[in-house]
Amino acid sequence: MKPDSQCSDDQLRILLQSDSGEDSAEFRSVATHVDRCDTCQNRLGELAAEDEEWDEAHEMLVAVSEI
Amino acid sequence: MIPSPPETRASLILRLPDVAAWDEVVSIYGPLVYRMGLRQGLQAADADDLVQEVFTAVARSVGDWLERSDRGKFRAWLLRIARNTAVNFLTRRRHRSLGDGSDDALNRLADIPAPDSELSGEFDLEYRREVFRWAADQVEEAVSHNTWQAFWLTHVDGRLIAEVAEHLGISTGNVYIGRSRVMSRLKELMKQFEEVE
Repeated sequence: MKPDSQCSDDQLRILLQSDSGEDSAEFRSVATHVDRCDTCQNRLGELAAEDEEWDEAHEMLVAVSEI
Repeated sequence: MIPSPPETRASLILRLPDVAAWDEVVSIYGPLVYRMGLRQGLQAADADDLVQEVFTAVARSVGDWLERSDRGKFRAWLLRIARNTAVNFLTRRRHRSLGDGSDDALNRLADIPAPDSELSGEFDLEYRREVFRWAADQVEEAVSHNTWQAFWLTHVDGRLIAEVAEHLGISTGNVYIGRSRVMSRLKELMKQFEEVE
């Protein structure tokens, strides 16, 4: 789908904020958009953390789950 | 089961400037030191001994530390004590095992003992893993089951997004949201931990 007004970093950050309730209307509105927008699905991961941080989390959590 | 630290009595803990930091550090360092012992080849009973030795050293030194005007951060001090005690313990054991005259001593002599700096590096890596474990536990408790699973199954277990969506009965978009939400919180907690060190 083509990017629209909801494809903004500020909107997407609502989904990442720890104090955003998953049942709030604002959260649901952005979540519904992300559900059908590949661009935002990928951008969300970029906003959550840098590639190296994702990689480190994988490496560390795989290690701790093994012992 | 991991033994409790020997000196966590209230009279001692209440003198500390940050009781929450003590509890947090005990919950992180006990398992950390124990697992480090296991990774270094110790049997469970010996790993227990290592944990006891670290916390005994901490308990013995905390009074002096409290008297110091330049004492710095509690957690940083604990990290130093724990690391040094663990490295000393493991170094002593390695040297002892090489010279104990048992049947397989010759085979063990062929092993190259890790220098202290290497053990210290391993301790730091184990410490980082343990902080991640602690942060992951915090996040898992704070988010919904599906949110946590969306992260764990895709990012730690390496399963496909679509497969996990079907498994959890949620949309692929919600898998992306869940995993990113968890990752963002993990990052926040790790940052908080690093800032107070």
